[in-house]
Amino acid sequence: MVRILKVLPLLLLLGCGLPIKNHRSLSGEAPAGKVAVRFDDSVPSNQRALVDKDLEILSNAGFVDQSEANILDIPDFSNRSLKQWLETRFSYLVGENYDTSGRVERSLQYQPFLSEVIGPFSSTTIMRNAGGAVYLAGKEEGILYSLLVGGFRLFITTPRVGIFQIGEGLFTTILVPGTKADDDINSYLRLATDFHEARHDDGSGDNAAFPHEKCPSGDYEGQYACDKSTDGPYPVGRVIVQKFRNQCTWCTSAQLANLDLQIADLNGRVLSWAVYNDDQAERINP
Amino acid sequence: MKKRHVVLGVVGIVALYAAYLVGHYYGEESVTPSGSTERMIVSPTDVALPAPRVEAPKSIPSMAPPTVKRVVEHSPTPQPSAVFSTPEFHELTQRAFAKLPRMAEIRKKGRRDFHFAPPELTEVADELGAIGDSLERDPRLVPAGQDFLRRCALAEDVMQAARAVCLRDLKHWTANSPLDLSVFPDVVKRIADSLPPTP
Ligand SMILES: [Zn+2]
Repeated sequence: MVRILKVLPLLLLLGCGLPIKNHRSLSGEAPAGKVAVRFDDSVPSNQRALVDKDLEILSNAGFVDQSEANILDIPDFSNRSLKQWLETRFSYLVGENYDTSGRVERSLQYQPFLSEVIGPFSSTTIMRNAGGAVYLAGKEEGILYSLLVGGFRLFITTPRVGIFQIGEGLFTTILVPGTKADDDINSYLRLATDFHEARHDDGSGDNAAFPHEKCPSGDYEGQYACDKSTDGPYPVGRVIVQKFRNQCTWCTSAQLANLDLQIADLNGRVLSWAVYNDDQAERINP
Repeated sequence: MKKRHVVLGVVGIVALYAAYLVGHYYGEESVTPSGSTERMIVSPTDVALPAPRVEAPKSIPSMAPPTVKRVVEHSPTPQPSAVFSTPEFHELTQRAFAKLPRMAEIRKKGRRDFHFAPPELTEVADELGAIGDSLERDPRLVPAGQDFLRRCALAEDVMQAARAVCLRDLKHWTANSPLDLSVFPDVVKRIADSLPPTP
């Protein structure tokens, strides 16, 4: 018995722990490995655990419906394709107290462009693509910036650098009423947010970081809360929510209504004249 | 004897876990996805020697260790919602109508960041789910349900996303009778048509 007590913590430490109880893959497909993301020390441990759980669910999403894969420019919605897509973009996570002002490395001459205005990070902010924001700022100012993340100095030479700042809002604002932060349905919504922000890693020229467009009308009129790309961040997030929603045989009617409201909101943000844009990420070669 | 069984059991668990890890890491072998290509489009004129994209730390990386805490799963088991009498259903729809998300009210609360949907958008989800369940169970409630869904889809002060969900459900529950769609705004119809079918 003493040996068991000695070994059990070790097993838990190794991560053999608890299976995903509710999320059930319908495809019968083998799980892909988990997306390898690096956490900066500024991310609290409870937030890490939740992100970790989200990525575990993604690794075994098991989507059956393969339609709309073109939005992500992937061949299919297999666990492997989803993992590869996110892993290419979603590399580093920093916490809300992390200073994203960046260190000036040197002057650079970038081509002129129109950038997205990115506001200050407040406690209710859910997540932002800090790497993309710093890249756009550097491009506008003609400065090469770097950020120190978890002991690594990252030179921001592309929006694809993949540095994301997460706040408490990711775990409190995105919360289906009557559920807990670690309930699977909230993982679905957080994963959709991850994919949304990861799309801000992409694009080139005026479309670098896939900036949002000012909404000409509707609920968000005048806000940079719409997309001019049919494969922009909002459609990308929407397709992820919808895949989980369509397979959620264990969701209550209220939870399905919640996901449908989210899907409707995201669909309403795609401008009627939106077009498909190249998702190749620009990179400077200083 | 008991002790031996316990030890054997633990060894078995460790062996299973080792097998899992082998499969896990084998499965992580990856190739570059088609959409991941990056290209250089900017040529800087400054020729000062740049550092590589990632400069490894001189000391041991201070990157946090992998998360070891596992989240305990306790998602609630879906509970069937209550069966409503006609007056109770009327009360439900009244409550739902009052809870529909309205941008004017949301802005009054000082909410300014709409990069993601305001949480108020989904506060009515419980009621919408209960209404759907009720109509499914008791066809006598359908006319009252249609009335609520029509009022919701037409309410100009309600967020378009909620109006679209209502319109989709209205179309579902009026499938056998004519529905004049011309009274609904194009944007609401477009969003409604893009939604998954009514559950
Ligand atoms: Zn965005």
